[in-house]
Amino acid sequence: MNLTQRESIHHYSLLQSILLACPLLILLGIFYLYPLLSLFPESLTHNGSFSLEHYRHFFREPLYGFILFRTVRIAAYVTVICFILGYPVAYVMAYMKNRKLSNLLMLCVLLPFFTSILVRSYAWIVILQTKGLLNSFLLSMGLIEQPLSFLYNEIAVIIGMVHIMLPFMILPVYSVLKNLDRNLLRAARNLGASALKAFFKVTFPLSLPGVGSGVMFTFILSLGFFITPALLGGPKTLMISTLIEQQINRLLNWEFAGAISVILLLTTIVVIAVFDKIVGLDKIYKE
Amino acid sequence: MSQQQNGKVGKFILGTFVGIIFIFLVIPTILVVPMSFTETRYLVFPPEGFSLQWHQEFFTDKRWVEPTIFSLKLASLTTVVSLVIGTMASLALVRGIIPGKRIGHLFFLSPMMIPLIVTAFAVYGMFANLRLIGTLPGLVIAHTIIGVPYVILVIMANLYRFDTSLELAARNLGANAFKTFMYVTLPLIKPGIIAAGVFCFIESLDELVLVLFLVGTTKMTLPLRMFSEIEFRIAPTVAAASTVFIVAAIGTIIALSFIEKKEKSMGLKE
Repeated sequence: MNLTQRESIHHYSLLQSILLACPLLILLGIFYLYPLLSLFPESLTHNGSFSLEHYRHFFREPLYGFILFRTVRIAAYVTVICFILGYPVAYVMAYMKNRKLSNLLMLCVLLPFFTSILVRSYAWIVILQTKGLLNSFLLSMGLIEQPLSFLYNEIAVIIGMVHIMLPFMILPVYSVLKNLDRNLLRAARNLGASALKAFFKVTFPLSLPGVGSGVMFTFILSLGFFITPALLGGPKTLMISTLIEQQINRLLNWEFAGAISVILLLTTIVVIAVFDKIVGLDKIYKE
Repeated sequence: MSQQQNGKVGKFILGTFVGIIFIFLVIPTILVVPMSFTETRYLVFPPEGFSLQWHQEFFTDKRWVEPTIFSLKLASLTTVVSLVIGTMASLALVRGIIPGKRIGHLFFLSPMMIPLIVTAFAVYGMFANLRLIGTLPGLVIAHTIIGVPYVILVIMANLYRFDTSLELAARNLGANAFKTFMYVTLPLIKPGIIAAGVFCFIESLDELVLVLFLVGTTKMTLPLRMFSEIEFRIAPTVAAASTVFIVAAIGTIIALSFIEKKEKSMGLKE
């Protein structure tokens, strides 16, 4: 948070500002907002007339409710695991004195950030499949006698998603910790607080804005994940995104897919609004 | 003394924990590199023998070369368009007088938070009506929608970092708004433009969900080629393609850190 947000003196007039924002507004208006809004009337149509049938179908069939619940559950697991794994990493990186090592660690965090989600999901297939790395390791250690199936279940999806989302948690927390005033910690220690107590009373509360944006991004992006569940989850571990794709491409049930899309869209918007209330979305500029 | 020992034990445990997480973070990312040199027709670890045939296939086979070139074209165009209209909108939001700034920037950022499959499905009907499915302009529009939020994030943060005194000085000396931007603002936010451009380029090069819906039947992008290969058979060519991706990513990160160093040495950043 090293940014000192000076009050910027406006030097573009109203007309100039509107002209500057115009191309993006038009592009997003036509090709993004309008199509998203059109999902609502489309999903409320059944046999050519207005009907709530598709929504009724979604909430009547236990399977769909179960898939929605699974999506939220997986997103929650991924967020919690990313926090537990990511916070210590961000902490160690922020307080590391060895410059070379900390640069190397930063490279390691950024590398997955910059490599294809597809490539990484694929790597997990290689590791988790029956003849894969994990099974040959466990077999050679004599821990198991038969290869286990790690792939195509919820755990595989969670592992793959945690791997992709971890940098999204590490980076904002690191950024906040790095810019904390170290004197506060020193003062706490001098006044007799143990290292652990100083951490929980001083460092951790002050790092909460970073935790907030990390948690927010991880949870929101996890709700809409498609590629990882499609590749690692198999047909048995459908999430809402893969369910939408299945309805469109395999079952050609477009109106119902529209209804599921609206449900996912509204879920996401509610989550964003809640986080905006708690964390404040405009905070993301201050990192 | 015992407290010091406690501290050491704590540090050791923390260090080990973090070390394991780094292994978890890095291994799956770089695992495909050695595997891409295998002699076998399928993927194994450890790889058997050493062969460049899969890399050769990636660089010579039409099935791989054409999608790669198309993806590079798409990513370059997307980056240019996103940078231009994204920077313009950021200027309006930070330096302009415009009503509804807060709702405006939420709207501009929302494409990175709304699930891509929802956007893809919604946009599909629109694109079908306008005959944009399977066309380069259509895919550029689609990727610009999700590329612009990165530009807005980076450029707005950059613009907030500088006060407007330099820009105001230029205006007072008689430069018009456009000249002030070209000669004062643009050089100041250049590192941000480069970073935003890299993000956009990678986002477009890697994007699969929008492409799955909007690519039609005649065009093919690199991620789509990889996706269909992964779904049907796991050939080492995918690993070779991934290796090229990873090398490019490492190169990009190193180049970016050089730019950041240069920026720091110019004293523009704390």
